[in-house]
Amino acid sequence: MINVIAGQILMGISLVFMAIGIYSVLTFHDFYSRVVITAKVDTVGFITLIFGAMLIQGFSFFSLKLLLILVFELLTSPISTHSIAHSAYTSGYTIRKEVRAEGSGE
Amino acid sequence: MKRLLHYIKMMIVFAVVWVILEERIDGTTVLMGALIGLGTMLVTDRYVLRGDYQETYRLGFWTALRYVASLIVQIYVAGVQAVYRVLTRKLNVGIVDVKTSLTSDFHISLLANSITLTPGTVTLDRKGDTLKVIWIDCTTTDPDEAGPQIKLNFESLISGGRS
Repeated sequence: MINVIAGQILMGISLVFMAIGIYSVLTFHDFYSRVVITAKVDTVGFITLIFGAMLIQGFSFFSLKLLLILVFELLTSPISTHSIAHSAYTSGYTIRKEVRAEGSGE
Repeated sequence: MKRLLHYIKMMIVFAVVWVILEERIDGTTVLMGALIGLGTMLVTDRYVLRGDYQETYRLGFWTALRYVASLIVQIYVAGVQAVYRVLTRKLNVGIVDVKTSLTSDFHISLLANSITLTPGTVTLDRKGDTLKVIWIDCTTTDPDEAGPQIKLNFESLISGGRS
């Protein structure tokens, strides 16, 4: 019983992380800061989600499958981030300073 | 001989993965996984990766374990820092060059991946032993000063033990 509650708390934390990631994509204007923030927040949220699901399920084939998915994610997530940032860099994006503009988000 | 040893080791790994995917442990499943793994490796050796790649993509078991453990800790530090920066909107993005002392391509790509996953940095480009990195809290553009703050201890972790 205790592991189900702990797992659900972990999944809740991961949802908070992902929500903040989406918020950052919507509010920042510079491409590079979006890439840097989402790359981190996404991975943390995903790992926490997987750990929460593993806690709920206990030690079984299901959580071993989740572990395989986690390894795959850890290998591929930085590569996809890198290729997006790399293509932006080679096509000549420059860094824009974040402006603290109110009301520009609408 | 060495090639045979590599095949046997990889067949064990493939069999374990196959057992996990099939959700059943018995002789047939293990044998099936090992045979499919062997077939995959033969096709890969024959058509995809020619030459001796076994030595290129080598990382000691304990090195890998310590590396992954340290990576997960750093990912959490990165996530909390990123959240803090989003909420306070403190961003000072810049691009810096970082020199690495690692030599093999595989190790450099591992380092670049760990830089992408760790606090506030994403790898952009690589030329020889120089990596271009976006840094979210860019206090200095000097490669020698920025290097240790960006690479943390991953360089010694990756090359540590039998590299």
